[in-house]
Amino acid sequence: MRKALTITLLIMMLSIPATLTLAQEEASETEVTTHSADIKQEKTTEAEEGEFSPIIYFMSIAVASAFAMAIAAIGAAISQARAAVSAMEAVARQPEASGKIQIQMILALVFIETLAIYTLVVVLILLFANPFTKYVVG
Amino acid sequence: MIEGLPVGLEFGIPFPGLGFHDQVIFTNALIVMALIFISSLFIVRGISLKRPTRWQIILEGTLNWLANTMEETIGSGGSRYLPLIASLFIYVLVGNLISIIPGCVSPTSNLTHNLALALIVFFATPVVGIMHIGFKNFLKHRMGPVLALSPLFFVLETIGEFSRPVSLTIRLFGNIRGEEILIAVINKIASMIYYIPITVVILPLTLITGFVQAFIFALLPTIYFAGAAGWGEEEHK
Repeated sequence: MRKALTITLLIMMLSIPATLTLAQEEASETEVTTHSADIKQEKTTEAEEGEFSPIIYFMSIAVASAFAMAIAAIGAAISQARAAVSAMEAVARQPEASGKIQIQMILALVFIETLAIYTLVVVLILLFANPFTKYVVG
Repeated sequence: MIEGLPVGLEFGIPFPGLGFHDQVIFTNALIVMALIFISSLFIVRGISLKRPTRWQIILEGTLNWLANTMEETIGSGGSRYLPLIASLFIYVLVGNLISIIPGCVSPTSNLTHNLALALIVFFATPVVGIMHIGFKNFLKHRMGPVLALSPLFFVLETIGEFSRPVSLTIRLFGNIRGEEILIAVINKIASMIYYIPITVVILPLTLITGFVQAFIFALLPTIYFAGAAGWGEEEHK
């Protein structure tokens, strides 16, 4: 269990620089092609060392939101599983109280799920309603 | 954009001073209210004790189930505010499920709409508490068990009180909105390859989520009321 978690975290950490370098390569490639293409486009893609390239910006947003959702799902799944396991054990021990236990379990699950939903809302804001996009795109 | 993913079918009454998405949400909220109002008028018309009609049984069964759940959750006297809770439940349920009809959008997929619903609960909670145990006892309840720690307890309780409508709002919004985006994205993927009516497969999931969220939206205010009025505490003592 712990081994699998550490392996997944390691893979995640390794994949972040890989995607970033990919994005940089892509950005430089587009710059090269546009340099040769047109003077008009050259002006728009003149974002070099000092400025922040929009492609890196959008790539990092995509990576960040995907990982945020994944980590939130891991946490919510583990804790919901624990809640469900304890509720099932309680029902097995005392079947006549199953109605009450079920409602309490649903409540606990909802409170756990809310945290994942918060992450979903943050991800939606990052993707669709990001306030900093206008500074990058211009 | 977070609030309006255009489907292309939605419509709204051109209400002055509102954007298009707000018009759509406003219109759909009006549709939900009209649906509930007219259907309840028709149900009440044929009501009888000896030979209950089909819809009467459905409505009474729902209300009985809700009342029993509330009694089970917080002890005897839990179903005291059934009218408020049940109307919240029915409104949110119909609002969640109306997106099945093509052209309609769930009004509960809007943050402002949900905040309005949550503010009802937020303002009703202290009123219920004061009505049941009096202003002095209500304040004492807020102060915590130890007098020396009462400022800390008061601040913490107040912050907790303010976090409740926020969590109610965002929970409902995130669930319904997330599901709408999921359906839109899956539809787009399906129509990229060739047209598959995949919505038919996904829509039953919407039914489950809509029902559970409406149930939660009815159950949490019950618990808040119980906490404010101190029901169910006599049983533990």
